[in-house]
Amino acid sequence: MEILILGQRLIFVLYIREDKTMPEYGLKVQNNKQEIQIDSLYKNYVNILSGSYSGAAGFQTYTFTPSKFAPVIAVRPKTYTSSGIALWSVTYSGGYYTGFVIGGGPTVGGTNAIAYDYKVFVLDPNSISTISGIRIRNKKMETVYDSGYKPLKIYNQESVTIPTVGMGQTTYTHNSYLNPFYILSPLHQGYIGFTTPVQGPLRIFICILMYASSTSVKLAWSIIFQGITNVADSWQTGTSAKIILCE
Amino acid sequence: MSYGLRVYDEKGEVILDISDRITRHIYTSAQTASSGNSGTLTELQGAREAVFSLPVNRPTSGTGWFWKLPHTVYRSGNAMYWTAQSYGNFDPWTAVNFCFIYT
Repeated sequence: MEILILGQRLIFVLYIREDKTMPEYGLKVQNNKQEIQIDSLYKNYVNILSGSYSGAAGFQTYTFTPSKFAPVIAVRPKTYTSSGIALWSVTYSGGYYTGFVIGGGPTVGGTNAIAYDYKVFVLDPNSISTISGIRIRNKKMETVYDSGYKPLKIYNQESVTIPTVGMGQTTYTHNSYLNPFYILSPLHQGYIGFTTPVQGPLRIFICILMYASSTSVKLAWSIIFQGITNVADSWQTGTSAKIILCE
Repeated sequence: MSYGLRVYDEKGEVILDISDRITRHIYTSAQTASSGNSGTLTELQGAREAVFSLPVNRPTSGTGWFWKLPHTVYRSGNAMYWTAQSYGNFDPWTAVNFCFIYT
């Protein structure tokens, strides 16, 4: 069945396939790989907030309309090739996610400034969009898809090697995708302790995403805390992670 | 265009097309993390594909701010598992939420 809807500002061309395996009533949309894009059961993540930062290294806290479900936050480091960023944490209060913290800084000896873009995606934007279009609701009358919001698109997901804590760096190249946003999961940390001659610095690092080019990004380390130790040691929370390219 | 949905924004730019892989949220589970925690996510057994799972560190109490546990969700056969890195000096008040996003 083909449906052509001409709205004031939106045009939809739908082809709804008959699918006897569909578990519920309503609309089901697949992409050209037969992956489900929209159905009447599950909510799609949508973009509710975007922004940029350029300035001194450190932690920046952001807030968004409280959401009952964990948000998806994607970042895109830019400008600096010797400093980078990581999604440090989300803030949570009274059963709602309310914001997030991005932290970043230089690699050892790098530039003490950071620059990045971010996007926040949630499941419950709390209001339907105001423009014309299409909205799908589940049987609880909750909106699961609203064409007035941009959906979270996944371009690719791959495993990446986390470099050796300290000066280590690895490069992830994505020639097919230009300037995507990234999600790196999980967050990795590590430390290096020096004894020079008896006591020395203890440096705690976070693994950061660092701009390399429009088709590549680097994984590196930035110091977030320094102390003193009398034990020469190094350790990191892991050597692999997933990187997700998205928009 | 043989099938699918194409959505344009107010500027006439395509924001959803038949080649796009977009996310749907299937399951969230809060797991209290402690050193070396792991578990089987029974609600997700037999799931077709998880494009990605997103462990989210979030505080439940306390003020600890560093040494967040890395949480990993992985698949083996038809089973989904979760594990927290074994580590002795982490913030004990950190929990995790899992967002499983399927196609």
